[in-house]
Amino acid sequence: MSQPLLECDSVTVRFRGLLALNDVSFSLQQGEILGIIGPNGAGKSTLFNVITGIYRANAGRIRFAGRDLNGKPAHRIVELGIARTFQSSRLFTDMSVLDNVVIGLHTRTRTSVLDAILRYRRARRELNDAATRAGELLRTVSAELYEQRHRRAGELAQADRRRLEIARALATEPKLLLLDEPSSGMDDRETQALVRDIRGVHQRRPDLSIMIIEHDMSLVAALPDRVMVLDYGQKIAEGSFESIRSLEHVERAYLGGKSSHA
Amino acid sequence: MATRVTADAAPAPRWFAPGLLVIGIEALAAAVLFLFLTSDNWMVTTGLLLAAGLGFLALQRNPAIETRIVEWFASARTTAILFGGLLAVVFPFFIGSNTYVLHLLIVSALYAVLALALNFQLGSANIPNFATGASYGIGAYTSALLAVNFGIGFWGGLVAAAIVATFFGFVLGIPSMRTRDSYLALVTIAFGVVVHQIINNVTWTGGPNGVFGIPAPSLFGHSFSQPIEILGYSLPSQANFYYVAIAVVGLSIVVAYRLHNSRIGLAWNALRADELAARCQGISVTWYKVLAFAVDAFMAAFAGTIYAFYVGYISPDNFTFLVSVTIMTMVIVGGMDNILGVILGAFLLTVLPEKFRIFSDYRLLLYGTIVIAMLMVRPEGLFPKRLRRYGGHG
Repeated sequence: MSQPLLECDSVTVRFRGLLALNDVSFSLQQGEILGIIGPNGAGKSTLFNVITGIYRANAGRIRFAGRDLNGKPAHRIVELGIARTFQSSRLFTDMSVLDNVVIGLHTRTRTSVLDAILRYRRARRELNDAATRAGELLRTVSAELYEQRHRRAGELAQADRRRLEIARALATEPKLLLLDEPSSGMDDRETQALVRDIRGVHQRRPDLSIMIIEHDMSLVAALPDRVMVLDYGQKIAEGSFESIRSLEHVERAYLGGKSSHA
Repeated sequence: MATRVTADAAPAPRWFAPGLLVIGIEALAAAVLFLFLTSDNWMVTTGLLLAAGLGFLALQRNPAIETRIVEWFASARTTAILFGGLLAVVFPFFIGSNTYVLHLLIVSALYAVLALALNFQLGSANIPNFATGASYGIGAYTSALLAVNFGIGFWGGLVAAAIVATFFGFVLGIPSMRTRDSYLALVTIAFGVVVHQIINNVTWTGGPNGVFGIPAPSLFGHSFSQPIEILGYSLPSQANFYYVAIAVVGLSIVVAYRLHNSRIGLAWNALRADELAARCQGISVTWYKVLAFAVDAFMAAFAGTIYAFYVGYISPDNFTFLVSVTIMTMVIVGGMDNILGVILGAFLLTVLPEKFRIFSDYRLLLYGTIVIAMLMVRPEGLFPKRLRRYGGHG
């Protein structure tokens, strides 16, 4: 087997007395889709936050594409190729849809302060190119969203906000995309459209690895190659969705207890 | 109502139409400013204020009109810039020997530079910096002390002051990196107070007596203490400083515009909207915050140097906390993250208290009422921020 893209080795995150993540180890291959499920408070979002550099691991190692991520600031990790979306979408609401994606291109553009002031033409050209690229990216994610590119991001409907967040994350040219509950706040029809969108993204970028935190089991059944179950900060199971759902302790921890989501 | 107006906007105007409209609007604005500044009749000034207030109220009610005016200016940008520049250059010729009005214009221009400086922080990046007055003071004192003690002239002082103030901007930026919102505001207030106290208590700054005897600058052998004689016209010596101040306003506009329309401006805007999301797009929040402090200090130092050489005397009282609050009010009332709005805010809030001197004791009451009224009529500022455009397509 080839070298995994992401490797978490015994990662532990502690908040005062609380063990948010306890000795979690897993790896992810290039192009693979990994689903992460577990009850609320199981440490799923904490895992994303520690991978993206928002939190620091108290113990354990995270390696990505041959590099150590421990202690790297969040903006450097984006540059290395990890992008994410948030559970409650965090768009730049007072800016245009297009600008949101252009900001996603921040690490892929170079203009410095002095360039911007003294070599304005070059800076402007770079930004115009970025806007063109952002527009094309928007169009591939969703034609409807592209039509709305000059609207304020805050005016978008919920489903479009998610799409925009995904487009913005893709703009950073990631090798790994982390989606934190992309279907939250969506109805069944919208969730199905979301599954199609994510599939489309993955078809166009077969090398992109994706990690998805989800509560919606129809999505978990449809998308991931592999599913990991977290409970009280620990990994309690890992495998295909079919193999996981039949495990008794998983059902007890999650599926059985949370009938509303299952 | 909005839909009706956009509906008849359909026929494309001929190529010269927006240009003429822009010239008309700018000429009208200049005429209003001239009348407002030179009139001694309180009924005229109050009437103009009321008319302007009604104008803004109309804009607030009909966003389509506002959009259309903005489009005129966007399509006739070169005309707008050239004619605006021309108006700024010929304005002193209309004012003639009225040095008081010229003084008001110089102070307004300096405040416009300060407000543009603060706009990088407050407007673009939502950093509540209450220390712009301190950077202004650091700039003024640096160049004044260099001039009085070492004989360094205005132009050298301008550069030296900018370097020193930018250094202090970085110094202030570093403790500010780890704080935000109200805490950040407190750090900057403390910095402003510390700077004021140091200037007031150290002997080599002249203490509370300040620095005096700052020599007049000169350019190509023309001393700024001499009147300008040109084409048979004679402009009072203040006109020298008027032109320098206007030139620095122009420079500040160019810098502000270029930074706003670059990835730097976008990164600042991202910080303003959501700091965590900005970090997750690869933006180094720390660097961009410190950068905003440095740019603010750099431009404030320019204003400080001009002020010191213009008045010839500076004291700690010129650079109090209140100055920082005034600059902040200008940015908020004028329109955060809108270059023209910020400049308008600076002019308005400099000139208003002066014109209200006729109301003597009620002056500040009226001033405060007008600021509140403006924020009620235009909550996002007189000229609110706009969405960016790329490559001409709206």
